[in-house]
Amino acid sequence: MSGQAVAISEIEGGARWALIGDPTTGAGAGMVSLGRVVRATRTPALFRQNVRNEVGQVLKTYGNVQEHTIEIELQKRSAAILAAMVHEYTDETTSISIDEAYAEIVGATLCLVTQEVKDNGTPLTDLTTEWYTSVVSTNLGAIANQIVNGDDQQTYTVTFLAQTVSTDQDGQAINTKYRQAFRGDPADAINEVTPTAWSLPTASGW
Amino acid sequence: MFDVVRSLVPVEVHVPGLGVYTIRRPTLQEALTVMAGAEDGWDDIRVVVGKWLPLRLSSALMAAGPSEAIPALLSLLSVGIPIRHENDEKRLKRKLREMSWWEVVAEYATWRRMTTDEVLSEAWPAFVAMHAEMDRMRAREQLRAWEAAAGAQTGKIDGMIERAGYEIAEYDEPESMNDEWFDRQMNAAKAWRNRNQQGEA
Repeated sequence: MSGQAVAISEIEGGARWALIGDPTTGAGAGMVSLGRVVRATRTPALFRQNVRNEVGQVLKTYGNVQEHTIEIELQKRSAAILAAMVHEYTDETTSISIDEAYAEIVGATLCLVTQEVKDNGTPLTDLTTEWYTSVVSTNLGAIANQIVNGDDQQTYTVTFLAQTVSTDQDGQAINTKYRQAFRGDPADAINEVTPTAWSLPTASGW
Repeated sequence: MFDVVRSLVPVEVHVPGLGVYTIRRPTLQEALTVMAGAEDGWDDIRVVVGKWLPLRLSSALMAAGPSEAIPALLSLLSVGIPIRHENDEKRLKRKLREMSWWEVVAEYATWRRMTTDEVLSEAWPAFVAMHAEMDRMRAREQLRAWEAAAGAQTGKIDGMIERAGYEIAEYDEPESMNDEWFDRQMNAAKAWRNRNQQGEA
């Protein structure tokens, strides 16, 4: 018996508004807007096992979703904002300091909102809003270095992996089915009697 | 143009358990039959593959059945398709799915002044490469015409061609993403960094 994670489908989201950070801070103060991204593509992967039945046939069985990979293509400005979340660089007259201590984003919450929903001002309740409870970037360090070193590109593609977490950034328990990704109202995701609601900044602010 | 030349050279394909085969590039007709048959035309695929691939490889694929042979054939079709940009592969796949092939063939035949039969027997990767060139050259011809009509300066044309090519992302940056927005988000990003990551080194 063997098992592997198999990508089941690639979902091209096209241009979306992306926010990343900590939604448990009041009035969305912890969420950073990356603006309207060129495109967001998500790939969910299922766990697949090969098993043999009594007559020796190989059967493929599919299990739960193991991981989500989210690729976001960013304009240079948006990439610079994302890079500022991990790199501190200060442009002095005679030097530029580059802090290399933090190369990747770890454990931030990612939210993708369509243009229509942003215009309606209902990102927190609309069923098309996508939330990735805790994401880890995998190539932001390299991109941040490119930006700091002035290696200009028209767009940058950042890859995030969605982690399964049992609590949000405020330590509140999350419902089992919502631990990696979900769509719609985050109020349903928090498994607390008196939950601290997740919030986003007012839509005109991002 | 290099893409077009390279796309005519036969490829060597290593098939685990069977050995290394030198395979000629499929013709447009063969490629279209495989793509169209991937859904419900297994018999058509059998006929075409018998002519295209070496005997041993084609019998092995036919014996494996559609579920294994079709993905293998589709990946053989993708060998040698010129990829210029890291996102081109996805775009190409989407484009190939959406294309109305008879229209494309007819358009291409008119442009190259060839008959439909001649077009269908062109090498498939070369057709894809030439088709990409066709879009670019038509854009160039059109811009020349506009330029002549408008009496514009010749120097401007190159930048316009770049913009006319379909490689550029169809994306408009919203006006709200201005300098003031950028400064505000940069500050929020730095605040997030200070709050979440500074103490963890």
